[in-house]
Amino acid sequence: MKSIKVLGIGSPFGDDQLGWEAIDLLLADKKIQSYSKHHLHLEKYDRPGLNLLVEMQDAEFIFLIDAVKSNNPIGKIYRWQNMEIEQLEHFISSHQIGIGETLRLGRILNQLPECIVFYGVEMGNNISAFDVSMVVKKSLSTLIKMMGEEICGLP
Amino acid sequence: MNKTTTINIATLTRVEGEGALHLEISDGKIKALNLSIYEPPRLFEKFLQKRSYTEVLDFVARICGICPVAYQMSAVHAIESIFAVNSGPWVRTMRRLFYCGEWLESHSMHIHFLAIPDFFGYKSALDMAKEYPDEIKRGLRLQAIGNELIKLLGGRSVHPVGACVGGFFRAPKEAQVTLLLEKIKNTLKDAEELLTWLANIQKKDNTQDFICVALRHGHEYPLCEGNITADNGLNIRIDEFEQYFKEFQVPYSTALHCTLNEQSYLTGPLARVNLNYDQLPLLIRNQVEQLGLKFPSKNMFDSMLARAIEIYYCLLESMRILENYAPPNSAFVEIKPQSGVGFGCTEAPRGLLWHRYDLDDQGFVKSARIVPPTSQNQKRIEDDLKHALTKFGLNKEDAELRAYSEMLIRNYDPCISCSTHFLDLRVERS
Repeated sequence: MKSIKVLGIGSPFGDDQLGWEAIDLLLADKKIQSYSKHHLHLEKYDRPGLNLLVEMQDAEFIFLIDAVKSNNPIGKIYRWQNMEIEQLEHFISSHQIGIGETLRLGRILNQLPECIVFYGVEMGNNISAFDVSMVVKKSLSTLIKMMGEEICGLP
Repeated sequence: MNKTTTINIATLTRVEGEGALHLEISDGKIKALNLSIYEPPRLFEKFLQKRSYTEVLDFVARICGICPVAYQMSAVHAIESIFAVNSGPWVRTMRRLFYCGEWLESHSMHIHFLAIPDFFGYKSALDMAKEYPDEIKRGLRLQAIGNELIKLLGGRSVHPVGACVGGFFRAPKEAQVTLLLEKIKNTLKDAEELLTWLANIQKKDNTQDFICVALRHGHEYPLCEGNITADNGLNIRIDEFEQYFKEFQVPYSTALHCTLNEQSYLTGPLARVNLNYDQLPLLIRNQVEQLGLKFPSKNMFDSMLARAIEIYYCLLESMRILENYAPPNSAFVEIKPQSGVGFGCTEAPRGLLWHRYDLDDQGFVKSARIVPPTSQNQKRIEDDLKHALTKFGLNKEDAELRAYSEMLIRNYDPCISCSTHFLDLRVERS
């Protein structure tokens, strides 16, 4: 079985915390709980920046979850993989140094894992709120189902 | 014939600072040069009012994503001085270790991803990584060690939550310490090689006359404690800061300027190394001398070397601390709030970070004042730009002036360095 890492990126504010919320929901999932910590590792991050390259080093499959800010409807779910993520620099929420920029650097340095999947949800303008908005919460339950199936289907 | 050139570098935007540069050249001389930080005031000092001392560290950690440890350490020293707390040698040592993590992370990031591409003529670290992959990988390794040290004591590397008034919420486990110590030992060679590499890079001579200000401690390289000293003979206690340093508003910037005897001054790595070179371990001084480097230096571009020296220092200091690590009975001492005014001054990666708090008898904040290194260096950056651009040649093309201005600004401060990637230049000629 290949090693999998799921990194939820966010901050404690409004919908920007959806990456963290997703990790909590995945940890509560029974299928996810059946994996050993050596095979599946889940962690929350607050603006990992370039440290993302270090965090991804020990895994073959990486799942990133982050808030997306674009002009699409709030709650829209995105899924991108490998090179697609690198090309979407300005579309993806950038915590300090953008994920796209970080992955491009990782590719140049030959430091990327075999497969990187980015799951995102379009966030609202509630950055000063304490909670994730209801619309995003609904999307998160769909996202967790999608991710659960994808993780369980991995070799 | 009069010739006036106006260069507006209009937008400096990123997380920790937003600003711009306005440069007006008339008859071959600089008529006006304003570095304006126009980010709206963040009002943290006001937010802190009526908050309990237990909340202050979490609040101030949010001021900066790059140096949250510095904000926490200046605040904790100020608050503990009011409560007359002696948190003991274990806490004191762990605070040094915590701070080493932040310097490592911040300096490595600044050298490799913000400053060094300028010296090689690359637009970004991404472009540079194609030709210098090993050097950029080395930067990532050094940065990662810094992040791990912050996480060891802070629980996480960005906006850490492990520090509290009196110490830390919990002590690191010995197994964690052993693992990290091994990693640090394996990274020492990286620090040596980094210093050698940077010493051999060709750089412009940007030697100027300026005042250096830094903490100085009796028997160690300064991180959290010491007197405020300068190379003009100043040597004062941290509670005397307001008597000597004057903050004032300029019309074009929301960040206050700060002067010493009405003069600009430098705070940060180069000032620290200049004033504390003798406190560095012999191992580092020997390498510096073998490389033919000389400190004190007034060449502003030696700031990068100073950062590399401090990276090396932080690894050695962390190694020393972790080799002697023993878990304490308690990671913090009990606190009994009392009223009073207290001061904290520590060396953030970018320089002196001074805090003052006035607390009531329950430990609630009545007032707070924070003087960050970014605002202290603003006037110095302006003076540097005036000197260096004149020496560079004011008749150069606008694009060259802009690129050199950005390089000079980046040389000071990772926050502004981030911002300068977003510079939008407008040139007006008449």
